[in-house]
Amino acid sequence: MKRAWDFDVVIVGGGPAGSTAARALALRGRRTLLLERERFPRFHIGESLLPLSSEVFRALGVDDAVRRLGLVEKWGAVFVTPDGATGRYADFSACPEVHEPQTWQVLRSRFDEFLLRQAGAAGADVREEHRALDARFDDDGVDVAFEDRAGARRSARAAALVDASGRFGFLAKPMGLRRPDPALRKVAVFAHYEGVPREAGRRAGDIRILTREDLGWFWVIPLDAGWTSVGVVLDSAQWSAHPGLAPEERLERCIAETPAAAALLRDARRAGPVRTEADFSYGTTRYAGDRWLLAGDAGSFLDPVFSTGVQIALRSGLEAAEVLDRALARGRFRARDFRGYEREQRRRYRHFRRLVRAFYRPEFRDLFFRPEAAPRMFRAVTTMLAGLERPRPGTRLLWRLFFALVRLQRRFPLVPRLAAAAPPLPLPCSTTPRPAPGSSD
Amino acid sequence: MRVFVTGIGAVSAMGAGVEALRRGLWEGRAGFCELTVFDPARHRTKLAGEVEKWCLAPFSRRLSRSDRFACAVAAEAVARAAFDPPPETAVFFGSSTGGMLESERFFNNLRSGRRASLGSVASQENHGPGDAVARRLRTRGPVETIASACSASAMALAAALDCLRSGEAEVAIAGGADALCQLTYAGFNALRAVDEAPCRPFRADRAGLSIGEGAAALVLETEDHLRARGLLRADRRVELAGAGATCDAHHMTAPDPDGTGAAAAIERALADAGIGPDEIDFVNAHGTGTPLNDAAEAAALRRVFGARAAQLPVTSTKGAVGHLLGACGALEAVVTVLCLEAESVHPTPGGGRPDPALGLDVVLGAPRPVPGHRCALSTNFAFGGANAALVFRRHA
Amino acid sequence: MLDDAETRARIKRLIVEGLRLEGVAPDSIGDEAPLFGPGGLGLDSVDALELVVLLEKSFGLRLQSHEVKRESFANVASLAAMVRERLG
Repeated sequence: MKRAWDFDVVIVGGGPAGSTAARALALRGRRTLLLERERFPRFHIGESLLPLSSEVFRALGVDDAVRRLGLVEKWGAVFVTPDGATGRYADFSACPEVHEPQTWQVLRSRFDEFLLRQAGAAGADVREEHRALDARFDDDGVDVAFEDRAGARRSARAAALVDASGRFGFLAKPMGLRRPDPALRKVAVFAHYEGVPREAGRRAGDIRILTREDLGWFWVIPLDAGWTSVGVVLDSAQWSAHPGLAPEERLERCIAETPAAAALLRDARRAGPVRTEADFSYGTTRYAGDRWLLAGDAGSFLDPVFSTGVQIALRSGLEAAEVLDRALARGRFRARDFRGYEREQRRRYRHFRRLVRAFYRPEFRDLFFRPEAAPRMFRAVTTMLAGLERPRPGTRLLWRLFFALVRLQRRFPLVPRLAAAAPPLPLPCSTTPRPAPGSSD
Repeated sequence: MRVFVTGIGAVSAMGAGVEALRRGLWEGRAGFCELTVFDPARHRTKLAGEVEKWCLAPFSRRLSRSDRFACAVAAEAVARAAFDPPPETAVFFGSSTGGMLESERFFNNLRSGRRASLGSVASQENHGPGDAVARRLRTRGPVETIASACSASAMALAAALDCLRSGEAEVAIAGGADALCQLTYAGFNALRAVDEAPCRPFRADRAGLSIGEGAAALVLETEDHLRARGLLRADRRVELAGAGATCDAHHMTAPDPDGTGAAAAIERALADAGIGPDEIDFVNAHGTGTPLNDAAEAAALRRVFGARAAQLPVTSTKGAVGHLLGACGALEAVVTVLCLEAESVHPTPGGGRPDPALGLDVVLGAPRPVPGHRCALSTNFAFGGANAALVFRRHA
Repeated sequence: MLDDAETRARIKRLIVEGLRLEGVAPDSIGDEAPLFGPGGLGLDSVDALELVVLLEKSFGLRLQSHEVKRESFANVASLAAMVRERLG
């Protein structure tokens, strides 16, 4: 006769996926234990949200509190050619299907702590500096062993477990579920800077994607309090071409050799350590099993380029809570009871993976940066970039057309291929023009 | 030489950023809850306008809570002004207690044998916030902190105005920052000046003030500098048109009930702005909610505006965020700018009917549209009688 | 009597916890990694003063001003060596 459950659900990991699941479950009256191995606030990468995140905040009842955080408003994404001469602005507010185009750039240390506290405020038992050690499943529940703050070994029994442990993969790795994506072998090097100029008005909060000749790219994300996150994503092959470079050197070199980045960061100062992440793109063979679910990065992660990471984590956290709530009501926690969840995560992964893989093709950029590109198609693509997964049929058709054109462009150049690096031109963003001596109005 | 407001930043119980402040104020909300930044158990009252923990950006560990508020609002103001402040930018800040909260924790730790960290009190003084802003923005112009308690940041704005008019600088960042601390919380409670419930400025049964915390900053630029940036004609610009300061010479804590000193400050500000009382369209009052302040302030307003005082829309931001002490002048200046830009005066939260004895037209319930209104007055009257008044004017 | 590895580990914990460095794990600090100045852990003169007090309290030492030398404070290894030498 097995022990009764101490909790309905144990969640491993207190990032956006875990906090969302915990709060959503607690709001539904489910006894939830969340184990987070670090003490918050702590640094985390993944600093840009998508418009559809607002739906999750509303579902959690935290949208008002999010507004009080004073985060930088993000209304769109600007993609820039390596020489800085051409920019394409994906304006979320231009897409009629995106009802709430405005979203945020987030300093994750602050944001994740906020979400974690919201989980606690809803009644979840949130324990920081508690490291989950292992999980043993049986017919009637799961026993999760963990180490508390003092290092003592404890355990808790629950009906089900959510692995929201991110890249760490508390369940995913030991179960051998992880599948690195061979088509996306990348390395990212990043740091926070100060003194990076921003556009004026609503555009100040745009994320800027500065593309490189070698199909790598930079992200430039304006964060609150004057910080800007800057990171470069390179192909592993690119990285290995120059082995032995320290991360700081690597980042500086990449900036120097990309005219658009060099111009933008000319007066910028690094304001924190340089970090790296490698081989961060992976899928999973399963998102759900008997009495367990994977949420957020614990399941899969694609690529930072379209800022889908946190969005997916928020959504999957919410969906995990909803499906577990139903499972608790019915008393059934088999993998087949989680089929819908499994399908949804898989579909979402495939949907965004198609977009991400396309981005790393030169043909994508040929089409994307073409100045006279069909505005309706561009708007449809922007709708995708905003995170919409289920568009109207007309938009879906345009998506299909766009991907078809990308494939076609490979064989028959429909549009001129982007020229090799031209002499650097001034970046289309505003810095204060210093008045020339003696100039007048 | 006109001086314009080109950027604003704020953090308060309404949240971080001007947007959160605007939403909260125009929705008529108040941001008071039970204290968490220190244990309210030993204090007579329990509520305060505290800034939520995650509204604090993670600045250097060496900075005090007030310093962090200051850096955050300066960063926001500069971002909204959409430019890098030049090295010659002057910084004028006001604070009443600076890093007092950290000092209290330090001494508590010391007394109880726990580790008391030197680094935690490195930024103890009340010039901490202003200095932190200058360091962070890397400005090399003059940095001044004014410590006149509740009128400190209004005086800082006045000082910035003088500095820009005199040509000493073309750009200034002026503001104020004050974090909650036990000294002031206990001090005001000892004087029985704090309402146990959220304050109700200008109400008949008002019972005291509510303590708040936070910061605000304004980027001020001369007309010439704006023109050089090519921005003079863009948007509707709000000008800091005038400032006036006086002293009550009356009592250590109580205001002069006749309001003569306060009235004189207002009149000086009007004269400085080159306008008469008839041109003021609404007032952002000091409005703490204490029986004495509101009465004295009403007397001052009647003195200046005469019969017109009864029709002049008056509001108190303190009803929403509490008394920010050294920072209230700057915060209320920011709110005044918001009111001018929106052509609307936010309501003063709190229940109860207005005190008829005051003879004021207090904006209650819903925001009051004030279309076409151009000039506003913001007042701040300090403990000890240092009075300040600021006049803002919106240009087409 | 602490051995060298334990001394270093303790010093690293002092640095992170005593100086309230956020987001830095004690064992991520290299033994030879520069503590002060840019390019290192970024500690400054105020941290140095705090570190002196922390070391004194933790190891039961008394450090005279003239003993607080730049070279001893360069990195964890040099600090550990100084502490062990002072403890005899």
